[in-house]
Amino acid sequence: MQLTDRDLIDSYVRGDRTAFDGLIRLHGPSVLGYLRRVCRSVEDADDCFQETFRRVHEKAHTIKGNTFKPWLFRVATNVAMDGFRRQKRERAVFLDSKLANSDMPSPLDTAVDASISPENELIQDEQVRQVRHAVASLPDRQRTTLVLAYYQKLSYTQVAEALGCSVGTVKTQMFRALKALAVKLPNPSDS
Amino acid sequence: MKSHITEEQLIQWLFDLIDPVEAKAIADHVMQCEACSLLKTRIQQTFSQLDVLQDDPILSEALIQETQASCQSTPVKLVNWWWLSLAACLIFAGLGSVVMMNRPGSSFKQGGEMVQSLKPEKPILAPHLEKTEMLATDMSRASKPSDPQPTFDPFAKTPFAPASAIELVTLPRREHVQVIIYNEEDLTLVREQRKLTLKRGWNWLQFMWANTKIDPTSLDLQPKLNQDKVTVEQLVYPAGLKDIGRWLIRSEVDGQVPFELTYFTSGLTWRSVYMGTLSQDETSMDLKSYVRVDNHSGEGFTDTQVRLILGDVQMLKPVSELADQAWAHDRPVQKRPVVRKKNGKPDPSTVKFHGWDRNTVVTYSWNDVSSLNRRERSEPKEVIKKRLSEYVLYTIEGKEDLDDQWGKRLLSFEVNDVPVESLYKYDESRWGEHAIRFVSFANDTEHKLGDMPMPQGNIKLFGQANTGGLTFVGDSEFKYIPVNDDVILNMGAARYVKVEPLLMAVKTTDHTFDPNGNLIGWNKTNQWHIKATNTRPVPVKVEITRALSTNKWTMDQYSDTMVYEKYDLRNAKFTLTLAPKEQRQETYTVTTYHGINNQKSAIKN
Repeated sequence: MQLTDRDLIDSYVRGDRTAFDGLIRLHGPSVLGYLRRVCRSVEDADDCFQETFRRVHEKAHTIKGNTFKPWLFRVATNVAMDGFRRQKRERAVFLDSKLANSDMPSPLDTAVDASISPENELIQDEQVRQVRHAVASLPDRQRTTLVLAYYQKLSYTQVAEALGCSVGTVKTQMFRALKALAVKLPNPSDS
Repeated sequence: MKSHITEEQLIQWLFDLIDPVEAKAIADHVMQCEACSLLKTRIQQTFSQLDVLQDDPILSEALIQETQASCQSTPVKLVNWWWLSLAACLIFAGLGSVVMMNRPGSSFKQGGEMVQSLKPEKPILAPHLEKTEMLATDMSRASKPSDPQPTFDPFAKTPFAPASAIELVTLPRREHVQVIIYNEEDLTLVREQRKLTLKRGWNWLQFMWANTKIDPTSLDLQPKLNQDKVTVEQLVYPAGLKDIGRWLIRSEVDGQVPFELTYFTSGLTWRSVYMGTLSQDETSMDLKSYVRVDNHSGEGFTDTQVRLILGDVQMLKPVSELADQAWAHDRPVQKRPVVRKKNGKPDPSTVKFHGWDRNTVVTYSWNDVSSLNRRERSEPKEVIKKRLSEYVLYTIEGKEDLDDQWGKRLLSFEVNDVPVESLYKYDESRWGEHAIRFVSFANDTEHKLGDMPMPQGNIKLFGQANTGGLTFVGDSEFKYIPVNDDVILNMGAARYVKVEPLLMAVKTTDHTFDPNGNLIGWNKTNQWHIKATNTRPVPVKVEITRALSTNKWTMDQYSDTMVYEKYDLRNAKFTLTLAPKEQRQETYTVTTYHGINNQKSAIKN
């Protein structure tokens, strides 16, 4: 019988450290995928990933019911948002002046660009690059909403729990994100 | 629904963003309307492109292990203690806020520390390996999982610079800190030891000193272990970025390597403060010497070994100027030459601290009495004093917290019953109509001192009041006192000892005239009374200096109760001792020679 989130958390709170390993392996890929889509760089995403599970570790005893996944994404979102706010405060300066002077509006743009060279030269996937740019150009809130709902396949109710807002707000953010993407995504007929 | 569906409505319908009734109406319309159906297909094709980012990344074992390691430092909470925490918070909230408000150098401060990371305890990452990991992650989409991983030579090419800020890593917290503070210059050497977690290959390490007074030209980083396998290749000052330096480290080892980071900073100062308490008869003094350390460097130092240097150093350019220069890579070319001519003193950049161990060690009692220090007073501390060439090195036992903008006073030494001499001096030409009080002693073994030179500093002198307790006598400042030199403290105008000279009689004699009958020479004899008053309950010694108006003079007569000596060409000095509460009148008569009379060779004084 496969253990549920609740079982793993209960075991961990009782002192079974392997249960925490199970939680990371079970939800880690999804959380890491979410963070790498919303953070500005792989390093930031990995930092946020560690911080997310550190907070899970600290707060494991407070988790009630069977709502672990939305709660986990809420933690991850808070960590990522903290990072966004801090990066804005720090006014990060990039060594690459091209990036610094770029008019790309979202931090994820720089992450995409940063990962272009040399990795993406190998991939040579222009469509991936364009889609990444389009997603990255969304405002933070719209991007997190889109990633949670579309890529992580959370229901709007779960997204609302993860983001700490109402379902209506989630839908509004989602609609705005989709409307913006409809313009920014490349025309399918071109490809 | 007769009119066509808008693109926005279709998006809301496709992504379930509208209520069911409206959704059903749109669905019915699309079924019947070819144009809207085509539009719906186009929208679906557009958004289907989002699926190219659908795959979640592979979660590496390294990241899992790092995550678990970061959690191990905090124990698992087995019981829900929220209600206890709430109660504790309510009790300590007020106390905590007061404490934190009074700690400007606490963890809330950025200081000039290192780049802030999301996770301060995160070990150093090797950028190239991270990049390799990114590459592997991206390539995994295009290749099968069973494909072999690409090989990577970490030393294949020396990186010119990190490709972007995202590859930069942070310094871990300090393992050990030592500050060496000079008192003659605004100069402090900081030696920090940190354990860096390196990975095989090239590692970039970033150091920031914004808002501090660190001299960036003095930065140095050296591995303490594995020196043959770990080398610091470069220190790069990135163009366009202020207050940032980046080290390029070549490592052939994976794992933690202790490093020593050294640099000069300004803003840390120390000075000596002395407190003397005179005995009842004012013949001896209990002397306490304190060291006051102040930190205005913009950087807090916790658990720090503090060393103090007494001695001059030659500085071509003050560290404070180096710290304030616009760019770290500016050479210290003098815009305003400040060459201090102290020949023979070593340049601080060449000072080798390793050599100090060869010097003699003398151990003294060292008690921590600072009200700012939270250490228990019951634990005596020691200061180890060493002579180093022309320097004296004081090492404070144990470790201190030197928070930014804070000061700390520590007891350096305490000597009881140091013999002192009180002396009142009256010299109208120097100090006006007031007697000045002096207290003197010597930095020698007779005075229970003389082991080490005494740093310059302020001294506050207290006396024993008749009613018990202490009275403030005065304060003074003295320069650096070498061993066997006298210490003379000027305590200011005396209130209870008075000297009043009174001119009682004047007569001229031996008048000499030229052939025309003009007066060309004469002698002038003045008779003076000196009224000396001591209202103090202890005997006092008074030294009275009287200036003469000419170089040719003779002391004709003076009271036997005074000691007379010719002080110099134009000054006579009398010394007398007044008993407690005594008022006495002394006399002296002096003759001065004027005109042609002062050329007479027979004049003796």
